Amino acid sequence: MIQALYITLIGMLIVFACLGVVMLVMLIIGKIFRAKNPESETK
Amino acid sequence: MELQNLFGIFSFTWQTAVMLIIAGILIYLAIARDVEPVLLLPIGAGIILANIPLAGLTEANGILGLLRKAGIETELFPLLIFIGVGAMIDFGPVLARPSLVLLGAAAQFGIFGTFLLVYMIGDGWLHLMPFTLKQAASIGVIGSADGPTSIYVSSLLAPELLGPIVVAAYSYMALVPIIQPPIMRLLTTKKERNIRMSSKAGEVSKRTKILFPIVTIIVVGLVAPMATPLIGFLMFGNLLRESGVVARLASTAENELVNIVTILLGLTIGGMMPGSEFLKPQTIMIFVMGIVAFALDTATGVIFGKIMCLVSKGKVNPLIGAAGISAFPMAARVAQKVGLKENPHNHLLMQAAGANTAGQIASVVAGGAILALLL
Repeated sequence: MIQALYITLIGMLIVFACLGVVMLVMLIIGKIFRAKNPESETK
Repeated sequence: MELQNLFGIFSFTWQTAVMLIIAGILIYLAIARDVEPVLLLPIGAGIILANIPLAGLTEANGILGLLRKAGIETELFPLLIFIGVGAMIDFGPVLARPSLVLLGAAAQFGIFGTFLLVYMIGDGWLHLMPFTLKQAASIGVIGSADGPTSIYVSSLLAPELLGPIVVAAYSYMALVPIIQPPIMRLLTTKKERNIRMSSKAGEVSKRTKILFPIVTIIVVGLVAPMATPLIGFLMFGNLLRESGVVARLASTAENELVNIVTILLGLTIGGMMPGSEFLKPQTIMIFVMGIVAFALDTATGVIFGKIMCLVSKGKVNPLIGAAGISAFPMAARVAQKVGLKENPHNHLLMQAAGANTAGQIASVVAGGAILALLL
């Protein structure tokens, strides 16, 4: 059961870490290319 | 030749009868009730083919056996479907509001919570049913609310449970509009459901949209390498879409490719459900836990939405948290519908679509994380 708890904890940690990094990288890229690209589209 | 080996009727068992009834129900649901017809119809047909006595379709050299070996055991079918799914999805809404990514991550607790529950009922503590750690994880992955991820993970961890897991996953995905709203209403106040979110969002350039799939493959691949096949094929499909230079390939991926593979996948899954393997007490437990997984997904998504509402000082409507589950695009539509019911002028679709597409990525990452921790 301890192994299952460990998997749950680490699993959720990986999910948040992965998506957190994706979010940060995309924020940075979004900022860089929004300013340089005049043909941007509004969402 | 003996008469028993000549006519299938002599080998007709009660399990055969029950499976033919189940096939009939699935085909009825698909045709008469429009419940995930694209998959349930081929699955129903596959079950009939697999349960005709003496036909030998599921044997190693039978056509369903060969399809299983070629498409499921190699994980080929779910990955090919992911190319098409990627080509279908517009990640614009989540790119315009990157913080919604967190809602997708939070809603994956349904996978891990269900995994814990199943393992507790099984080999972990109560020993009520013989569920191993890998089987419990496969059942938990129903909570990814994502067919290809469920198939991919189950085929690697517990191929013996693949049939019921896939049927449960697709059935509950069709039932999202029934499962989610009561939980969403239970966990939110009228005031929270009435929160109107700003329709203004950041601009998303074409370059950002093109870079997104590439960056996601690299980031997810580095953090959770086991998720690389899933996220890689999903994002490859999205790159075809967003590149704008291979419209023909993108169109093929989201239409012909997905359609052909869905036919083969449905038949193969149905072919993995002969009565002797499907009719076990574990199957009932898989269906019960499947609904628990979807409920937990929804609940944790909404609860995280409430936290974001609190942090943003009332700028986030917690209802969009429910769209953090991957069932795309149905979960986003449900959030919109529940919001509109409370206030006919409260449109949440774009924000919910952002959480929903984030859920698609998060479910793949969660699947990869489970594989990394258990294989």
